[in-house]
Amino acid sequence: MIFKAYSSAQRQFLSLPETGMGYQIIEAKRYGKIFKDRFVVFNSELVIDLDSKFSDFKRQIITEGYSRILIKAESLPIETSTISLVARSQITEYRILTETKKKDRGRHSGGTGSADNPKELADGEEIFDRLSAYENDKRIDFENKKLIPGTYTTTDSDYRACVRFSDDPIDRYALPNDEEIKWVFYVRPKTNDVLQRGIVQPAFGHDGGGIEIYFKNGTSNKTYLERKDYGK
Amino acid sequence: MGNSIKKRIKLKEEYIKYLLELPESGMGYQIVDITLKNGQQLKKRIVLNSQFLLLENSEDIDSNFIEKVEVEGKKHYR
Repeated sequence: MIFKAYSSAQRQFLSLPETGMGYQIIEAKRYGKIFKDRFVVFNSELVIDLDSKFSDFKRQIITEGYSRILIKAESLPIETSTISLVARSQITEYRILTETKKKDRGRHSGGTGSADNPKELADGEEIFDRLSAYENDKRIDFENKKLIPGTYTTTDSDYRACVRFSDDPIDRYALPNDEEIKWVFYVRPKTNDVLQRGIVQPAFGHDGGGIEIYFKNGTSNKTYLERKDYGK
Repeated sequence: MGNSIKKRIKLKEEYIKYLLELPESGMGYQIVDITLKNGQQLKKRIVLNSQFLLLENSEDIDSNFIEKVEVEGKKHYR
């Protein structure tokens, strides 16, 4: 959940050092609870659960705007006397856990985006998938059955990993909007088609980590195979 | 969690055709700079599927009011 802090909690936050520029990671006990929960506090006033859907809430703040979220957020009922800063060692541990979860979903860390990587020729066998919210995806030339130049896809294996791990394609491929991915367009490039492979870099509040394939020149005629429902 | 899908408008056909000649920034989207007829600039905006411009919910812009679309230094005047 996203909360705003009561003024008493705000005063307590202001008395504590920042964890990083503009934010603190704290733990505190909610009224009526035995154990402490961990929260990320922005600007000493906006409070987000750290251990539950943090990425989703972070994305919500980025897309809707900090001020709007703050206005509509509910106040967080925590015992002010229980507020304490989370030690950096525990935050590192959390990051390691997050990275582990990322790997568990078949995602990749680091690397570079596809446009920065060397060009290679397709082998004529490998299938690439374009995920889309649009049935009439404009980057598919349906008449000539090909991708138009400057189009991104992912590998078939990465798409299958995304589905197998019930991963969120919006976060995995760092897409800028929350429109539901409904379609998958399958393409098998020919041996003279050039592509670049890379790892989706974090963007729009998303982690990325999926595989991205860039076809600067598009693909040859008759390389688009079919369209299926996402996940089928 | 609230719905964070932004408002969007469909670009005029000439801009759609123009954007289809230009590369994507990532799977399914392009990042563009828009100039309106009153001179106002909308920087680094997202266009989905080369046809839908995302707007803030507080913005109310008619697609006919768009004067210019730019992608990575390339320009297209109405």
